[in-house]
Amino acid sequence: MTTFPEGVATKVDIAVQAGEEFYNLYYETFDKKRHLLAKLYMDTAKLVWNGNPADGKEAILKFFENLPSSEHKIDSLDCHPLIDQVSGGQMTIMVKTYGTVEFSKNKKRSFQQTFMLTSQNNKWMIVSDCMRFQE
Amino acid sequence: ITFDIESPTELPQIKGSFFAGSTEVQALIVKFVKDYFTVYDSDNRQGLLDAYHEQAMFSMSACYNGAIEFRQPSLKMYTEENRNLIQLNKKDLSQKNKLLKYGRIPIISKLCTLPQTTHDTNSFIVDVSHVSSSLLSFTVCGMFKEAEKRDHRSFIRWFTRSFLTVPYGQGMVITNDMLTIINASTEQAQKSFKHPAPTPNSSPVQEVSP
Repeated sequence: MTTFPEGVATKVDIAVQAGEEFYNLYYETFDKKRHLLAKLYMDTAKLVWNGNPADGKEAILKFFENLPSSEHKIDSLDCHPLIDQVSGGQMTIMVKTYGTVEFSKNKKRSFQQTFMLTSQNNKWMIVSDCMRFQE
Repeated sequence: ITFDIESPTELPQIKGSFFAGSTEVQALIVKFVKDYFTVYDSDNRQGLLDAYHEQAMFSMSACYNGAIEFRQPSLKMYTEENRNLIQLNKKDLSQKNKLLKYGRIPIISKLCTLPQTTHDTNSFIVDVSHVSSSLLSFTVCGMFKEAEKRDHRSFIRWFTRSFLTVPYGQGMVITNDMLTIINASTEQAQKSFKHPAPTPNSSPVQEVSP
């Protein structure tokens, strides 16, 4: 049994809970109400999508707007909290997913995605988002 | 005549590794990845102890390839360590905690019990998602194969590993390490572990047919 120092145990639980809520919300919004993703990305967020970078919320939303309609299915999820030395004491987590996605008229592909999320005014916001097809 | 709100059907071009930051940062990450997997593939992963921060966290998840319709190689050798939160009982927090390794020694002990591997570094793709003076975040994707064992065959699989690192001395140490292992597609398995093609030779190739 892994025993965490007390502060870490709480953070691990928060990370797991946030990750479990996040992945459902994120992919459902992406597939059905993509424009609302604006509410999830920080103004300064960074995206790397199959090697294509987009800097800042506006650029990211513009990038997503040009993607075909999509249908995601998530098969794997894992989450970690960041340690204080890295996050500067601001609750921050990493969320890693694996699943499949079908972009309209394209073959079904599997992919991995890694997010960093930080809490701002009691809301989780995406700091960075890195997506890569498995191929 | 069509309407102008038709949604796009073409995907953006899929590109190779993406490095953010300076060339120094790129060189640092490339060296780190090379060194890390050289030790990881050796017969002694204890050499990775110094690669981890004292409060580092590691976990792994394994999952069948959702894009493959036919039967896939077993992942049973990873079942015990699998922290896939979708497959674990939603309410069982103790299991979720147990599968998250915290601290250098528990992490190294765990890495030492995972199957012996050989990674195909030619297949590696590195995406750097966050660069600052205090942290680096990047993901490595690529192919590896497990060593042959008496009780199971050697399978070629795809891995994706997300690292978060902080500066330490001349280099950096890992604070978060998230590994996911997925079965390779047939095409992936076929194109991986190819040695560089031999230099073309002027003499005719001799083909032997049975």
